[in-house]
Amino acid sequence: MYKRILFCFLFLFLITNLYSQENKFNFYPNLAVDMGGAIPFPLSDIPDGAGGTPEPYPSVGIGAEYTLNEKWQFGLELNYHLIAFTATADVVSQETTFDNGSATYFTGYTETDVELRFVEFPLLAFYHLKEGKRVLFGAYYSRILEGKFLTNGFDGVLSDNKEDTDNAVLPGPADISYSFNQFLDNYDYGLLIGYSYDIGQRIYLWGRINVGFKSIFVPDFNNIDYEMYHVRLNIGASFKLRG
Amino acid sequence: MMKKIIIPFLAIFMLISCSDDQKSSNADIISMEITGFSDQELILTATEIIAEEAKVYIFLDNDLTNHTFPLNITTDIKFSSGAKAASIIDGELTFSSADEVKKITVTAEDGSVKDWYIFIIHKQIQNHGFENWYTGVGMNGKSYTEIGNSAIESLWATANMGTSMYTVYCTQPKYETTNTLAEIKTGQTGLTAENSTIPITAGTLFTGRFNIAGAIANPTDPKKATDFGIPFRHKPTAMKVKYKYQAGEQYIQATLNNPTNIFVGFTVTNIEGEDKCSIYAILEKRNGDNVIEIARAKLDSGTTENILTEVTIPFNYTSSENPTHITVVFASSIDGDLWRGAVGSTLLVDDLQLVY
Repeated sequence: MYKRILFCFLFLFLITNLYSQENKFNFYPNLAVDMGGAIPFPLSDIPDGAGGTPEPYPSVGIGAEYTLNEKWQFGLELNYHLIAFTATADVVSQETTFDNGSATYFTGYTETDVELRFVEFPLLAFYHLKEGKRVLFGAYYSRILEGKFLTNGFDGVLSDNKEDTDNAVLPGPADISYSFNQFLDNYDYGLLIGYSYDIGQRIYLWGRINVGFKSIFVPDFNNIDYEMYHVRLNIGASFKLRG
Repeated sequence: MMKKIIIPFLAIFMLISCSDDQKSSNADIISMEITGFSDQELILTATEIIAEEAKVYIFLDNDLTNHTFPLNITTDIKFSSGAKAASIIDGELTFSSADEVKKITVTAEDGSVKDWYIFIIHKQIQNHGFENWYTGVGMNGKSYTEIGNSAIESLWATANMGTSMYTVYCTQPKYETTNTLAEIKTGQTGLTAENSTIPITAGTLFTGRFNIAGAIANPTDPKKATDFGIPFRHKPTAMKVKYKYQAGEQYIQATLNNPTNIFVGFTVTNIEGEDKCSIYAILEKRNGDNVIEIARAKLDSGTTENILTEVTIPFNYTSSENPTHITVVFASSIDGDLWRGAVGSTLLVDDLQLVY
Protein backbone atom coordinates (compact mmCIF):
# COMPACT_ATOMS: atom_id res chain seq x y z
CA MET A 1 0.00 0.00 0.00
CA TYR A 2 2.80 2.43 0.88
CA LYS A 3 4.42 1.70 -2.49
CA ARG A 4 1.20 2.75 -4.21
CA ILE A 5 1.10 6.01 -2.26
CA LEU A 6 4.71 6.72 -3.10
CA PHE A 7 4.00 5.99 -6.72
CA CYS A 8 1.04 8.41 -6.72
CA PHE A 9 3.21 11.13 -5.22
CA LEU A 10 5.94 10.57 -7.80
CA PHE A 11 3.41 10.52 -10.60
CA LEU A 12 1.89 13.80 -9.50
CA PHE A 13 5.33 15.28 -9.09
CA LEU A 14 6.15 14.42 -12.71
CA ILE A 15 2.80 15.79 -13.89
CA THR A 16 3.60 18.91 -11.89
CA ASN A 17 6.77 19.53 -13.84
CA LEU A 18 5.21 18.74 -17.20
CA TYR A 19 2.22 21.00 -16.78
CA SER A 20 4.10 23.79 -15.11
CA GLN A 21 4.74 25.06 -18.58
CA GLU A 22 1.06 25.87 -18.96
CA ASN A 23 0.26 29.29 -17.57
CA LYS A 24 -3.10 28.28 -16.21
CA PHE A 25 -1.74 25.44 -14.12
CA ASN A 26 0.27 25.67 -11.01
CA PHE A 27 1.49 23.01 -8.67
CA TYR A 28 2.36 23.03 -5.04
CA PRO A 29 3.48 20.81 -2.19
CA ASN A 30 1.56 21.06 1.10
CA LEU A 31 2.81 20.85 4.63
CA ALA A 32 0.18 21.04 7.31
CA VAL A 33 -0.88 20.09 10.80
CA ASP A 34 -4.03 18.08 11.49
CA MET A 35 -6.11 18.33 14.60
CA GLY A 36 -9.34 16.53 15.10
CA GLY A 37 -10.88 13.15 14.84
CA ALA A 38 -14.38 11.86 14.99
CA ILE A 39 -17.38 13.07 16.94
CA PRO A 40 -20.57 11.25 17.82
CA PHE A 41 -23.69 12.11 15.88
CA PRO A 42 -26.26 13.22 16.78
CA LEU A 43 -24.40 15.66 18.99
CA SER A 44 -26.90 14.99 21.77
CA ASP A 45 -25.18 11.61 22.13
CA ILE A 46 -22.06 13.32 23.46
CA PRO A 47 -22.18 12.69 27.20
CA ASP A 48 -22.19 15.70 29.54
CA GLY A 49 -18.69 16.56 30.66
CA ALA A 50 -17.09 14.69 27.77
CA GLY A 51 -13.77 16.03 26.59
CA GLY A 52 -11.48 15.40 23.71
CA THR A 53 -7.77 15.91 23.22
CA PRO A 54 -6.68 15.94 19.60
CA GLU A 55 -3.06 15.13 19.01
CA PRO A 56 -1.57 17.33 16.29
CA TYR A 57 0.26 15.45 13.56
CA PRO A 58 1.84 16.78 10.37
CA SER A 59 0.34 15.97 7.01
CA VAL A 60 2.05 16.22 3.65
CA GLY A 61 0.74 16.36 0.14
CA ILE A 62 0.89 17.84 -3.31
CA GLY A 63 -1.70 19.69 -5.34
CA ALA A 64 -2.46 21.12 -8.75
CA GLU A 65 -4.31 24.38 -9.25
CA TYR A 66 -6.10 25.57 -12.37
CA THR A 67 -6.92 29.27 -12.84
CA LEU A 68 -10.27 29.71 -14.51
CA ASN A 69 -10.36 33.50 -14.29
CA GLU A 70 -9.33 36.27 -11.96
CA LYS A 71 -11.87 35.23 -9.35
CA TRP A 72 -11.91 31.44 -9.52
CA GLN A 73 -9.37 28.69 -9.28
CA PHE A 74 -9.81 24.96 -8.89
CA GLY A 75 -7.48 22.51 -7.27
CA LEU A 76 -6.93 18.81 -6.83
CA GLU A 77 -4.67 17.46 -4.12
CA LEU A 78 -3.27 14.24 -2.80
CA ASN A 79 -2.50 14.39 0.92
CA TYR A 80 -1.33 11.88 3.51
CA HIS A 81 -2.76 12.31 7.00
CA LEU A 82 -2.43 10.83 10.44
CA ILE A 83 -5.07 11.97 12.87
CA ALA A 84 -5.27 10.90 16.48
CA PHE A 85 -7.28 11.96 19.46
CA THR A 86 -8.30 10.82 22.90
CA ALA A 87 -11.81 11.36 24.17
CA THR A 88 -12.84 11.01 27.78
CA ALA A 89 -16.33 10.85 29.17
CA ASP A 90 -18.31 9.83 32.20
CA VAL A 91 -20.93 7.63 30.64
CA VAL A 92 -24.18 6.30 32.03
CA SER A 93 -25.52 3.05 30.63
CA GLN A 94 -23.50 3.24 27.44
CA GLU A 95 -24.91 0.45 25.34
CA THR A 96 -22.93 -2.14 23.42
CA THR A 97 -25.16 -4.37 21.36
CA PHE A 98 -24.50 -7.78 19.94
CA ASP A 99 -25.74 -9.03 16.61
CA ASN A 100 -28.23 -11.40 18.20
CA GLY A 101 -29.96 -8.46 19.88
CA SER A 102 -28.46 -8.84 23.34
CA ALA A 103 -26.68 -5.88 24.90
CA THR A 104 -24.45 -4.85 27.76
CA TYR A 105 -24.39 -1.47 29.46
CA PHE A 106 -21.52 0.35 31.10
CA THR A 107 -21.58 3.19 33.57
CA GLY A 108 -18.26 4.71 34.53
CA TYR A 109 -15.32 6.64 33.19
CA THR A 110 -14.23 5.95 29.64
CA GLU A 111 -11.23 6.80 27.52
CA THR A 112 -11.34 6.31 23.77
CA ASP A 113 -8.20 6.34 21.64
CA VAL A 114 -8.66 6.83 17.93
CA GLU A 115 -5.94 6.89 15.30
CA LEU A 116 -6.44 6.93 11.54
CA ARG A 117 -3.92 6.97 8.72
CA PHE A 118 -5.32 7.84 5.33
CA VAL A 119 -4.73 9.42 1.94
CA GLU A 120 -7.11 12.16 0.97
CA PHE A 121 -8.12 13.48 -2.45
CA PRO A 122 -9.69 16.91 -2.03
CA LEU A 123 -11.28 18.75 -4.95
CA LEU A 124 -11.17 22.45 -4.19
CA ALA A 125 -12.60 25.69 -5.46
CA PHE A 126 -10.87 28.99 -4.55
CA TYR A 127 -12.63 32.32 -4.71
CA HIS A 128 -10.53 35.50 -4.57
CA LEU A 129 -11.84 38.01 -2.07
CA LYS A 130 -9.14 40.59 -2.47
CA GLU A 131 -5.41 40.66 -3.01
CA GLY A 132 -3.89 37.48 -1.61
CA LYS A 133 -7.01 36.35 0.24
CA ARG A 134 -9.22 33.52 -0.87
CA VAL A 135 -12.01 31.44 0.52
CA LEU A 136 -11.99 27.83 -0.45
CA PHE A 137 -14.51 25.06 -0.36
CA GLY A 138 -14.79 21.64 -1.84
CA ALA A 139 -15.28 17.96 -1.30
CA TYR A 140 -12.94 15.18 -0.45
CA TYR A 141 -12.66 11.45 -0.70
CA SER A 142 -10.21 9.63 1.54
CA ARG A 143 -8.97 6.10 1.69
CA ILE A 144 -8.28 4.80 5.21
CA LEU A 145 -5.08 2.79 5.28
CA GLU A 146 -5.00 1.88 8.95
CA GLY A 147 -7.23 2.60 11.91
CA LYS A 148 -7.42 2.12 15.66
CA PHE A 149 -10.52 2.63 17.78
CA LEU A 150 -10.10 1.45 21.33
CA THR A 151 -12.41 2.18 24.23
CA ASN A 152 -11.41 1.51 27.83
CA GLY A 153 -13.75 1.91 30.76
CA PHE A 154 -12.59 2.21 34.34
CA ASP A 155 -14.05 1.80 37.81
CA GLY A 156 -17.51 1.22 36.48
CA VAL A 157 -20.43 -1.12 36.47
CA LEU A 158 -21.02 -3.46 33.54
CA SER A 159 -24.23 -5.40 33.17
CA ASP A 160 -26.69 -6.82 30.68
CA ASN A 161 -29.42 -5.29 32.83
CA LYS A 162 -29.76 -1.54 32.22
CA GLU A 163 -31.29 -1.04 35.64
CA ASP A 164 -27.97 -2.06 37.20
CA THR A 165 -26.05 0.57 35.30
CA ASP A 166 -28.75 3.24 35.60
CA ASN A 167 -28.49 2.89 39.37
CA ALA A 168 -24.76 2.18 39.55
CA VAL A 169 -22.83 3.25 42.60
CA LEU A 170 -19.40 4.46 41.52
CA PRO A 171 -16.57 3.69 41.63
CA GLY A 172 -17.49 0.17 40.60
CA PRO A 173 -15.41 -2.95 40.11
CA ALA A 174 -15.57 -3.22 36.31
CA ASP A 175 -12.80 -2.25 33.95
CA ILE A 176 -13.62 -2.88 30.32
CA SER A 177 -11.78 -2.75 27.03
CA TYR A 178 -13.39 -2.87 23.61
CA SER A 179 -11.48 -2.75 20.36
CA PHE A 180 -13.50 -1.66 17.35
CA ASN A 181 -10.54 -1.59 14.95
CA GLN A 182 -12.01 -4.15 12.63
CA PHE A 183 -15.23 -2.20 12.27
CA LEU A 184 -13.62 0.96 10.93
CA ASP A 185 -14.58 1.57 7.32
CA ASN A 186 -11.86 1.94 4.72
CA TYR A 187 -13.08 5.14 3.11
CA ASP A 188 -14.67 8.46 3.91
CA TYR A 189 -16.02 11.45 2.00
CA GLY A 190 -17.24 14.85 2.97
CA LEU A 191 -17.05 18.58 2.51
CA LEU A 192 -14.45 21.12 3.46
CA ILE A 193 -14.38 24.87 3.81
CA GLY A 194 -11.46 27.17 4.50
CA TYR A 195 -9.51 30.32 3.93
CA SER A 196 -6.11 31.00 2.44
CA TYR A 197 -3.79 33.95 2.72
CA ASP A 198 -0.74 34.68 0.57
CA ILE A 199 2.31 35.59 2.58
CA GLY A 200 4.50 35.88 -0.45
CA GLN A 201 4.40 35.47 -4.16
CA ARG A 202 4.70 31.71 -3.93
CA ILE A 203 3.78 30.78 -0.37
CA TYR A 204 0.33 30.90 1.13
CA LEU A 205 -1.11 29.79 4.43
CA TRP A 206 -4.45 28.16 4.76
CA GLY A 207 -6.84 26.62 7.20
CA ARG A 208 -9.59 24.13 6.44
CA ILE A 209 -12.31 22.36 8.29
CA ASN A 210 -13.19 18.94 6.95
CA VAL A 211 -16.48 17.31 7.86
CA GLY A 212 -17.16 13.71 6.96
CA PHE A 213 -20.54 12.70 5.56
CA LYS A 214 -20.38 9.08 6.54
CA SER A 215 -19.79 7.19 9.74
CA ILE A 216 -16.24 6.10 10.36
CA PHE A 217 -17.62 2.59 10.96
CA VAL A 218 -18.73 0.04 8.38
CA PRO A 219 -22.44 0.23 7.56
CA ASP A 220 -23.46 -2.95 9.38
CA PHE A 221 -21.68 -1.97 12.58
CA ASN A 222 -24.42 -1.41 15.15
CA ASN A 223 -22.62 -2.33 18.33
CA ILE A 224 -22.54 1.18 19.75
CA ASP A 225 -25.68 3.23 19.75
CA TYR A 226 -24.45 6.27 17.81
CA GLU A 227 -22.61 7.08 14.61
CA MET A 228 -19.25 8.86 14.51
CA TYR A 229 -18.15 11.28 11.80
CA HIS A 230 -14.80 12.73 10.84
CA VAL A 231 -14.33 16.35 11.85
CA ARG A 232 -10.90 17.90 11.70
CA LEU A 233 -9.04 21.16 11.34
CA ASN A 234 -6.14 21.28 8.92
CA ILE A 235 -3.75 24.26 9.04
CA GLY A 236 -0.86 24.46 6.63
CA ALA A 237 1.20 26.15 4.02
CA SER A 238 1.63 25.57 0.30
CA PHE A 239 4.49 26.50 -1.92
CA LYS A 240 3.65 27.31 -5.55
CA LEU A 241 6.26 25.92 -7.92
CA ARG A 242 5.75 28.85 -10.27
CA GLY A 243 5.57 32.42 -9.11
CA MET B 1 21.11 43.47 48.33
CA MET B 2 18.75 41.53 46.09
CA LYS B 3 21.26 38.70 45.83
CA LYS B 4 21.52 38.52 49.61
CA ILE B 5 17.77 37.99 49.86
CA ILE B 6 17.54 35.49 47.02
CA ILE B 7 20.43 33.25 48.14
CA PRO B 8 18.96 32.32 51.55
CA PHE B 9 15.60 31.65 49.91
CA LEU B 10 17.26 29.39 47.38
CA ALA B 11 19.22 27.62 50.10
CA ILE B 12 16.04 26.95 52.11
CA PHE B 13 14.22 25.81 48.98
CA MET B 14 17.03 23.40 48.11
CA LEU B 15 17.14 22.06 51.65
CA ILE B 16 13.40 21.39 51.59
CA SER B 17 13.66 19.77 48.17
CA CYS B 18 16.58 17.62 49.23
CA SER B 19 14.96 16.49 52.45
CA ASP B 20 11.78 15.48 50.53
CA ASP B 21 13.81 13.68 47.89
CA GLN B 22 15.69 11.64 50.48
CA LYS B 23 12.54 10.11 51.97
CA SER B 24 11.94 6.76 50.38
CA SER B 25 8.52 5.65 49.20
CA ASN B 26 9.57 1.99 49.21
CA ALA B 27 7.41 -0.08 51.53
CA ASP B 28 8.67 -3.53 50.67
CA ILE B 29 9.56 -6.67 52.53
CA ILE B 30 13.14 -7.36 51.46
CA SER B 31 13.61 -10.63 53.32
CA MET B 32 11.85 -12.80 55.85
CA GLU B 33 13.76 -15.29 57.98
CA ILE B 34 11.81 -17.74 60.10
CA THR B 35 13.52 -18.03 63.48
CA GLY B 36 11.06 -20.26 65.31
CA PHE B 37 7.67 -21.94 65.59
CA SER B 38 5.43 -22.43 68.60
CA ASP B 39 5.27 -26.09 67.53
CA GLN B 40 8.71 -27.67 67.28
CA GLU B 41 7.42 -30.40 64.93
CA LEU B 42 6.95 -27.95 62.13
CA ILE B 43 9.58 -28.15 59.43
CA LEU B 44 10.38 -25.08 57.37
CA THR B 45 11.14 -25.79 53.71
CA ALA B 46 11.57 -22.28 52.39
CA THR B 47 10.18 -18.77 52.25
CA GLU B 48 9.48 -16.98 48.99
CA ILE B 49 8.79 -13.31 48.43
CA ILE B 50 6.77 -12.35 45.35
CA ALA B 51 7.45 -8.62 45.36
CA GLU B 52 5.20 -7.72 42.42
CA GLU B 53 2.22 -9.30 44.18
CA ALA B 54 3.27 -8.15 47.67
CA LYS B 55 3.00 -11.71 48.92
CA VAL B 56 5.22 -13.92 51.06
CA TYR B 57 4.86 -17.70 51.15
CA ILE B 58 6.10 -19.79 54.06
CA PHE B 59 6.52 -23.39 52.92
CA LEU B 60 6.16 -26.09 55.57
CA ASP B 61 6.87 -29.77 55.15
CA ASN B 62 3.85 -30.67 57.28
CA ASP B 63 0.16 -31.31 56.90
CA LEU B 64 -1.58 -28.72 59.07
CA THR B 65 -5.11 -30.08 58.51
CA ASN B 66 -5.38 -31.43 62.04
CA HIS B 67 -2.87 -29.13 63.65
CA THR B 68 -3.75 -27.29 66.85
CA PHE B 69 -3.94 -23.55 66.40
CA PRO B 70 -3.00 -20.78 67.07
CA LEU B 71 0.40 -21.18 65.53
CA ASN B 72 3.06 -18.60 66.34
CA ILE B 73 5.84 -18.04 63.86
CA THR B 74 8.76 -15.88 64.90
CA THR B 75 10.32 -13.99 62.06
CA ASP B 76 13.11 -11.62 61.30
CA ILE B 77 11.71 -9.36 58.62
CA LYS B 78 13.84 -6.84 56.77
CA PHE B 79 11.99 -3.93 55.24
CA SER B 80 13.01 -1.29 52.70
CA SER B 81 15.26 1.37 54.10
CA GLY B 82 13.29 3.47 56.57
CA ALA B 83 10.12 1.37 56.26
CA LYS B 84 8.40 -0.34 59.18
CA ALA B 85 5.33 -2.39 60.09
CA ALA B 86 3.65 -1.30 63.30
CA SER B 87 1.54 -4.46 63.54
CA ILE B 88 4.58 -6.74 63.89
CA ILE B 89 5.79 -6.95 67.46
CA ASP B 90 9.05 -8.81 68.01
CA GLY B 91 8.64 -10.34 64.56
CA GLU B 92 5.86 -12.63 65.75
CA LEU B 93 3.06 -13.74 63.41
CA THR B 94 0.09 -15.59 64.91
CA PHE B 95 -2.06 -17.73 62.64
CA SER B 96 -5.45 -18.92 63.88
CA SER B 97 -5.73 -21.52 61.10
CA ALA B 98 -3.71 -22.87 58.20
CA ASP B 99 -6.00 -20.99 55.83
CA GLU B 100 -5.44 -17.63 57.48
CA VAL B 101 -3.48 -15.06 55.53
CA LYS B 102 -1.72 -12.42 57.63
CA LYS B 103 -1.87 -8.88 56.34
CA ILE B 104 1.09 -6.67 57.17
CA THR B 105 0.83 -2.99 56.42
CA VAL B 106 4.28 -1.62 55.70
CA THR B 107 4.77 2.12 56.05
CA ALA B 108 7.51 3.67 53.95
CA GLU B 109 9.77 6.43 55.19
CA ASP B 110 7.69 9.03 53.36
CA GLY B 111 4.48 7.73 54.95
CA SER B 112 3.09 5.83 51.97
CA VAL B 113 1.76 2.37 52.81
CA LYS B 114 1.63 -1.00 51.14
CA ASP B 115 -0.22 -4.12 52.27
CA TRP B 116 1.67 -7.39 52.20
CA TYR B 117 0.11 -10.83 52.62
CA ILE B 118 1.77 -13.81 54.33
CA PHE B 119 0.56 -17.27 53.31
CA ILE B 120 1.33 -20.66 54.83
CA ILE B 121 1.80 -23.36 52.21
CA HIS B 122 1.68 -26.83 53.71
CA LYS B 123 0.93 -30.29 52.33
CA GLN B 124 -2.74 -29.51 51.71
CA ILE B 125 -4.09 -26.64 49.67
CA GLN B 126 -5.71 -23.73 51.48
CA ASN B 127 -9.50 -24.17 51.87
CA HIS B 128 -9.32 -27.70 50.47
CA GLY B 129 -12.66 -28.56 52.03
CA PHE B 130 -14.26 -25.63 50.16
CA GLU B 131 -15.81 -24.43 53.42
CA ASN B 132 -14.85 -20.76 53.14
CA TRP B 133 -16.72 -18.36 50.86
CA TYR B 134 -17.04 -14.60 50.95
CA THR B 135 -19.32 -11.97 49.47
CA GLY B 136 -17.77 -10.08 46.57
CA VAL B 137 -19.08 -7.42 44.24
CA GLY B 138 -19.42 -8.36 40.59
CA MET B 139 -18.95 -6.18 37.55
CA ASN B 140 -22.67 -5.49 37.59
CA GLY B 141 -22.29 -3.89 41.02
CA LYS B 142 -24.23 -6.70 42.70
CA SER B 143 -23.08 -8.94 45.52
CA TYR B 144 -22.32 -12.56 44.83
CA THR B 145 -20.65 -15.43 46.63
CA GLU B 146 -17.05 -16.24 45.81
CA ILE B 147 -14.67 -18.89 47.14
CA GLY B 148 -12.17 -18.07 49.88
CA ASN B 149 -11.98 -15.44 52.58
CA SER B 150 -11.32 -12.52 50.25
CA ALA B 151 -10.19 -11.91 46.70
CA ILE B 152 -6.61 -11.17 47.71
CA GLU B 153 -6.33 -14.03 50.19
CA SER B 154 -7.92 -16.87 48.25
CA LEU B 155 -5.68 -19.31 46.42
CA TRP B 156 -8.76 -20.62 44.62
CA ALA B 157 -10.56 -18.79 41.84
CA THR B 158 -13.64 -19.08 39.65
CA ALA B 159 -14.91 -17.35 36.52
CA ASN B 160 -17.79 -15.77 38.45
CA MET B 161 -16.35 -12.26 38.13
CA GLY B 162 -16.24 -12.61 34.34
CA THR B 163 -19.85 -13.73 34.03
CA SER B 164 -21.12 -11.39 36.74
CA MET B 165 -22.07 -8.82 34.07
CA TYR B 166 -24.81 -11.27 33.11
CA THR B 167 -25.71 -12.06 36.74
CA VAL B 168 -24.48 -15.58 36.05
CA TYR B 169 -22.37 -17.31 38.70
CA CYS B 170 -21.38 -20.80 37.65
CA THR B 171 -19.48 -21.76 40.80
CA GLN B 172 -21.33 -21.41 44.06
CA PRO B 173 -21.32 -22.97 47.52
CA LYS B 174 -23.84 -25.67 48.26
CA TYR B 175 -24.57 -25.57 51.94
CA GLU B 176 -25.46 -28.73 53.84
CA THR B 177 -26.09 -28.97 57.54
CA THR B 178 -22.50 -28.98 58.71
CA ASN B 179 -20.66 -29.03 55.43
CA THR B 180 -20.20 -26.87 52.37
CA LEU B 181 -19.52 -28.21 48.89
CA ALA B 182 -18.55 -26.38 45.72
CA GLU B 183 -21.23 -26.59 43.04
CA ILE B 184 -19.82 -26.01 39.57
CA LYS B 185 -22.39 -25.62 36.83
CA THR B 186 -22.35 -24.99 33.08
CA GLY B 187 -24.56 -22.04 32.26
CA GLN B 188 -25.40 -19.55 29.56
CA THR B 189 -25.81 -15.80 29.63
CA GLY B 190 -29.38 -15.59 28.31
CA LEU B 191 -32.60 -17.50 28.64
CA THR B 192 -31.87 -19.53 25.51
CA ALA B 193 -28.71 -20.36 23.61
CA GLU B 194 -29.92 -18.28 20.66
CA ASN B 195 -30.37 -15.01 22.57
CA SER B 196 -27.27 -15.53 24.70
CA THR B 197 -24.24 -13.35 24.30
CA ILE B 198 -22.29 -16.41 25.43
CA PRO B 199 -24.32 -19.59 24.74
CA ILE B 200 -22.22 -21.75 27.03
CA THR B 201 -20.16 -20.82 30.07
CA ALA B 202 -18.57 -23.80 31.77
CA GLY B 203 -18.30 -23.58 35.51
CA THR B 204 -14.80 -23.77 36.85
CA LEU B 205 -12.95 -23.81 40.14
CA PHE B 206 -9.17 -23.69 40.05
CA THR B 207 -6.06 -22.77 41.97
CA GLY B 208 -4.76 -19.47 40.70
CA ARG B 209 -6.38 -16.20 39.75
CA PHE B 210 -9.16 -15.23 37.42
CA ASN B 211 -7.64 -12.71 35.04
CA ILE B 212 -10.45 -10.25 34.44
CA ALA B 213 -8.28 -8.05 32.24
CA GLY B 214 -7.45 -11.06 30.07
CA ALA B 215 -11.12 -12.03 29.92
CA ILE B 216 -12.25 -8.57 28.85
CA ALA B 217 -9.45 -8.08 26.35
CA ASN B 218 -9.87 -11.56 24.84
CA PRO B 219 -13.58 -12.39 25.01
CA THR B 220 -13.22 -14.99 22.27
CA ASP B 221 -10.54 -16.96 24.12
CA PRO B 222 -11.65 -18.23 27.55
CA LYS B 223 -8.18 -19.56 28.36
CA LYS B 224 -6.86 -15.99 28.54
CA ALA B 225 -9.10 -15.44 31.56
CA THR B 226 -7.22 -17.84 33.79
CA ASP B 227 -3.86 -17.59 35.51
CA PHE B 228 -3.47 -21.16 36.69
CA GLY B 229 -1.32 -22.32 39.57
CA ILE B 230 -0.21 -21.41 43.06
CA PRO B 231 3.13 -21.86 44.82
CA PHE B 232 3.59 -25.41 46.07
CA ARG B 233 6.65 -27.54 46.82
CA HIS B 234 5.44 -31.02 47.69
CA LYS B 235 5.23 -34.25 45.73
CA PRO B 236 1.91 -35.97 46.45
CA THR B 237 1.29 -39.43 45.07
CA ALA B 238 -2.40 -38.84 44.43
CA MET B 239 -5.29 -36.48 44.98
CA LYS B 240 -8.45 -37.63 46.64
CA VAL B 241 -11.76 -35.81 46.20
CA LYS B 242 -15.46 -36.43 46.68
CA TYR B 243 -17.50 -35.62 43.60
CA LYS B 244 -20.88 -36.01 42.02
CA TYR B 245 -21.61 -35.25 38.38
CA GLN B 246 -24.74 -34.85 36.34
CA ALA B 247 -24.35 -34.00 32.67
CA GLY B 248 -26.78 -31.48 31.17
CA GLU B 249 -29.41 -32.73 28.74
CA GLN B 250 -28.43 -31.17 25.43
CA TYR B 251 -24.82 -31.38 24.34
CA ILE B 252 -24.06 -28.34 22.16
CA GLN B 253 -21.23 -26.78 20.21
CA ALA B 254 -21.21 -23.00 20.01
CA THR B 255 -19.05 -21.67 17.19
CA LEU B 256 -18.02 -18.06 16.94
CA ASN B 257 -19.27 -16.61 13.67
CA ASN B 258 -16.04 -14.65 13.54
CA PRO B 259 -13.19 -16.16 15.59
CA THR B 260 -11.90 -12.71 16.59
CA ASN B 261 -15.18 -10.92 17.11
CA ILE B 262 -17.52 -11.65 20.00
CA PHE B 263 -20.12 -9.13 18.81
CA VAL B 264 -21.28 -11.12 15.80
CA GLY B 265 -22.23 -13.97 18.08
CA PHE B 266 -22.25 -17.73 17.87
CA THR B 267 -23.88 -20.43 15.85
CA VAL B 268 -25.18 -23.08 18.21
CA THR B 269 -25.41 -26.68 17.04
CA ASN B 270 -26.77 -29.70 18.88
CA ILE B 271 -24.19 -32.47 18.77
CA GLU B 272 -24.09 -36.16 19.56
CA GLY B 273 -22.65 -37.38 22.82
CA GLU B 274 -22.70 -36.37 26.43
CA ASP B 275 -20.92 -33.76 28.45
CA LYS B 276 -18.09 -34.73 30.80
CA CYS B 277 -16.57 -33.04 33.79
CA SER B 278 -12.87 -32.51 34.13
CA ILE B 279 -10.86 -32.88 37.31
CA TYR B 280 -7.13 -32.57 37.08
CA ALA B 281 -4.00 -31.42 38.87
CA ILE B 282 -0.60 -30.55 37.46
CA LEU B 283 2.67 -30.14 39.32
CA GLU B 284 5.11 -27.83 37.60
CA LYS B 285 8.53 -26.34 38.02
CA ARG B 286 8.38 -22.75 36.89
CA ASN B 287 11.36 -20.57 36.28
CA GLY B 288 10.23 -17.43 34.54
CA ASP B 289 8.74 -18.46 31.22
CA ASN B 290 10.39 -21.86 31.45
CA VAL B 291 7.81 -24.35 32.70
CA ILE B 292 8.45 -28.06 33.21
CA GLU B 293 5.49 -30.35 33.85
CA ILE B 294 6.46 -32.79 36.57
CA ALA B 295 3.31 -34.76 37.23
CA ARG B 296 -0.34 -34.88 36.27
CA ALA B 297 -3.41 -36.42 37.87
CA LYS B 298 -6.52 -36.49 35.70
CA LEU B 299 -10.11 -37.66 35.75
CA ASP B 300 -12.62 -37.00 32.96
CA SER B 301 -15.98 -38.37 33.88
CA GLY B 302 -19.34 -38.39 32.20
CA THR B 303 -20.73 -40.85 34.68
CA THR B 304 -23.82 -39.66 36.46
CA GLU B 305 -23.32 -40.13 40.17
CA ASN B 306 -26.32 -40.05 42.49
CA ILE B 307 -24.25 -39.69 45.61
CA LEU B 308 -20.94 -38.08 46.40
CA THR B 309 -18.26 -40.54 45.43
CA GLU B 310 -14.72 -40.39 46.73
CA VAL B 311 -12.15 -40.95 44.06
CA THR B 312 -8.38 -41.22 44.29
CA ILE B 313 -6.57 -39.96 41.22
CA PRO B 314 -2.88 -40.88 41.10
CA PHE B 315 -0.21 -38.46 39.95
CA ASN B 316 1.73 -39.70 36.97
CA TYR B 317 5.26 -38.35 37.37
CA THR B 318 7.16 -37.61 34.18
CA SER B 319 10.05 -35.66 35.70
CA SER B 320 12.20 -35.96 38.80
CA GLU B 321 12.34 -32.18 39.25
CA ASN B 322 10.91 -30.60 42.40
CA PRO B 323 7.69 -28.65 41.84
CA THR B 324 7.24 -24.95 42.49
CA HIS B 325 3.55 -24.75 41.58
CA ILE B 326 0.37 -26.78 41.62
CA THR B 327 -2.68 -26.27 39.43
CA VAL B 328 -5.91 -27.99 40.41
CA VAL B 329 -8.89 -27.56 38.12
CA PHE B 330 -12.52 -28.64 38.39
CA ALA B 331 -14.68 -27.91 35.34
CA SER B 332 -18.29 -28.84 34.72
CA SER B 333 -17.72 -29.19 30.96
CA ILE B 334 -14.42 -30.66 29.86
CA ASP B 335 -14.41 -28.71 26.57
CA GLY B 336 -15.96 -25.56 27.94
CA ASP B 337 -13.00 -23.52 26.70
CA LEU B 338 -13.96 -24.66 23.19
CA TRP B 339 -17.57 -23.53 23.79
CA ARG B 340 -18.70 -27.17 23.90
CA GLY B 341 -20.80 -28.69 26.66
CA ALA B 342 -24.29 -29.00 28.01
CA VAL B 343 -26.03 -26.20 29.85
CA GLY B 344 -26.97 -27.53 33.27
CA SER B 345 -24.05 -29.94 33.66
CA THR B 346 -23.31 -29.90 37.37
CA LEU B 347 -20.22 -31.01 39.23
CA LEU B 348 -20.24 -31.10 43.03
CA VAL B 349 -16.88 -31.39 44.78
CA ASP B 350 -15.84 -31.62 48.38
CA ASP B 351 -12.90 -32.45 50.61
CA LEU B 352 -9.93 -32.33 48.27
CA GLN B 353 -6.98 -34.08 49.80
CA LEU B 354 -3.45 -34.55 48.53
CA VAL B 355 -2.15 -38.02 49.37
CA TYR B 356 1.50 -38.71 50.25
